[in-house]
Amino acid sequence: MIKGSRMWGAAVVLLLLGSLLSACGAAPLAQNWPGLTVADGIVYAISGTPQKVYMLDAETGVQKATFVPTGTLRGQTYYWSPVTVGGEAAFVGFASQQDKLFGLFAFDPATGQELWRVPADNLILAAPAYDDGVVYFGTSSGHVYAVDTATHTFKPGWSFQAKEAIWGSPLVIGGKVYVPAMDHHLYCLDAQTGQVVWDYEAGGSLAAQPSSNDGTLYQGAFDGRVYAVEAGSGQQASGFDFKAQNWIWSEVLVADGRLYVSSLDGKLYALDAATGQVLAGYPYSTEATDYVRAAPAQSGESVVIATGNGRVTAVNSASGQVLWQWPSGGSIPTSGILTTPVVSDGRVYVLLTNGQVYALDGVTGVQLPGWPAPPTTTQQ
Amino acid sequence: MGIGEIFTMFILRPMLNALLWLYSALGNQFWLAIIVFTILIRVVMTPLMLPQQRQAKKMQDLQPQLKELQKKYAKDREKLAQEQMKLYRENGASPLGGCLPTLVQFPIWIGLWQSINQALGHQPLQLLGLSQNMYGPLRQMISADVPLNRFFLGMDLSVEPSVLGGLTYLLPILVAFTMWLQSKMMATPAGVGADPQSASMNQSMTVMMPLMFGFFSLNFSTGLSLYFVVSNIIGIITQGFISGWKGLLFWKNMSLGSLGGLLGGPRPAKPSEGDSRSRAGRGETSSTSATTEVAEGKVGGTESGVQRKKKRRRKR
Repeated sequence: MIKGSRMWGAAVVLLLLGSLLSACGAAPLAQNWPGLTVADGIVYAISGTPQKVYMLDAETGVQKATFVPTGTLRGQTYYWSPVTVGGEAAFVGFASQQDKLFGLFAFDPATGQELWRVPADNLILAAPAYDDGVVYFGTSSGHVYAVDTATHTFKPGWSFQAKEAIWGSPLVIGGKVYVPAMDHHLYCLDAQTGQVVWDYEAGGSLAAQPSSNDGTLYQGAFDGRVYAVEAGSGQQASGFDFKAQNWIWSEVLVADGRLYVSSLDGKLYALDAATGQVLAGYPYSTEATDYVRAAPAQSGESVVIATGNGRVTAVNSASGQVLWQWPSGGSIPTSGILTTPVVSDGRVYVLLTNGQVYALDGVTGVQLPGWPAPPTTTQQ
Repeated sequence: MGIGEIFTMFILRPMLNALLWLYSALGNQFWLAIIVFTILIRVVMTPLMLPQQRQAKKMQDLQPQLKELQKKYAKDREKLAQEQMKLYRENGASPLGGCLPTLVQFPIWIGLWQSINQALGHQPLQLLGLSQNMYGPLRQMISADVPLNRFFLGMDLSVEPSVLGGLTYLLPILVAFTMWLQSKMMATPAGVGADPQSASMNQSMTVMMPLMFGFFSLNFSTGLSLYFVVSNIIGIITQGFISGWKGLLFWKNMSLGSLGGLLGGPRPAKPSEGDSRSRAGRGETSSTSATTEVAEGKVGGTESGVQRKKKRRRKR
């Protein structure tokens, strides 16, 4: 009997070890961060378990509608891009690997009703870009697609593929589509045909949308540098040089002729747009163990950053002095923040990695009533 | 500091950075980095692994004496157990001597799996982890190379065989086979000396562990399978130097009966049935009895195949 139980013991140990390894191998959460968009008085937040798009009243935080693709989904782990609003629809990339469902979905912002969908060959992790009736989006296999929103079909003859994944949103300006890619290249495509006009090779992977200012594109890279590239020619702008101590994974904020750059080294830099020189009063440093994935956002006279540890800080854009912090009074943040804060109507919206959206007063940093939203899973 | 932070600081980060350094030093080939890293891990683990392998050899060497004890105390199992323990004690052998190294390897496997996932990350959170876990000077070297070259013979080392499909299914099979071969070379012959339940357990473990690891390998990145295969091959070679190479000739003594043994197998003969009726004696070979023969052939002073043939001739 004892020996029999020894055998059972061994079997149990094996099962436990197996469970341990399997648990490590399971991927209960999508391996990206949720998106946050504010447009026309609606906050679009990816939240919940399993995740869906929540549409919240931007003033009160009251839930107006939700969106998930129609049909039965067996998977529990979904990949969403941030929502983009254009025309009269909202667009979002969605993937459920278990359901083998990858695509771009258009839905009604008022009701959450699915309008149409087009398939994709892989995950869409970056927000789609909308311009003049066309939605452009890239996938993790490196493809970039253009979809005509009137016919809900891919633009004929339009095709482009990078050598690595597309994790940054395309930027559409003046008939050109600028696409950052993980293969270190910034591509300039003709918006009509998808043909490459030029491509610029940076020293690291590009995972954020480029920013434009006076005919120059500013692009952060994983080698810690910000690259200034002439939008017309694809040539590097002369005299510009900047390097942070860790990767730059966020969009460069252009405001009042200055560049604001956040880095995974935990610092916020203000740069001269022409030279890349760090301006006086900067960099602003977060706690030693903290980092900043999210891009900075402008709120009046201040620049707001949100850190990986979950702290939101507003600094005076000119001096770099701290104006307010949230949570205030030395409180410990409940969750990290990887998503770029959105400023709208004097409010700063932040989405925590736990899926909760908070609205803060843009001047004081005080949490506004009615938030956080949506309700947590346990409250529902 | 929580257990997660301790794990990250003392296991994940050193392993990840070692892999990244090797990647950089070996011409940006991650598969090569994994192989060299595996060899280094085995070297570091030698003080733990060698006693395990020597224990296996000792246990094999003790089989004739254990056999004798079984004959002698066939009807008194309590006394048999006492005498067995005494024999183990006198010879410095421990039937459980192999457990510790296996347990020690678990954090290494998990650390390596996480290192591979981060280093070869193809989703944002994985790469974010990489950026936070690289040591400063290495970050300067590696950042410009991200995403790292993750392909080996056209196979993505960061993706599971169950996702990749095709020929990558061979990898879990190779993991299971090399692990089985290694445990066959190390195994104490079942059915001899040990009590039947332990023998049966030994036999099951020899089969179950490789099957289980083969199954895990299906659902883990192929890079981890590469580690398992290389590690097992090193284990086989080391064991070969300690207790001989005959264990590699597993097919020589295999039969349909032994295949049955592979899949759970017949229960070993009870001591009361007499060891003279053991499978080897009856001419029934099983995978484990095959190992017994190999081991006995190697151990000085025990019955070799030639000696048994002579005995049979004399009987006739």
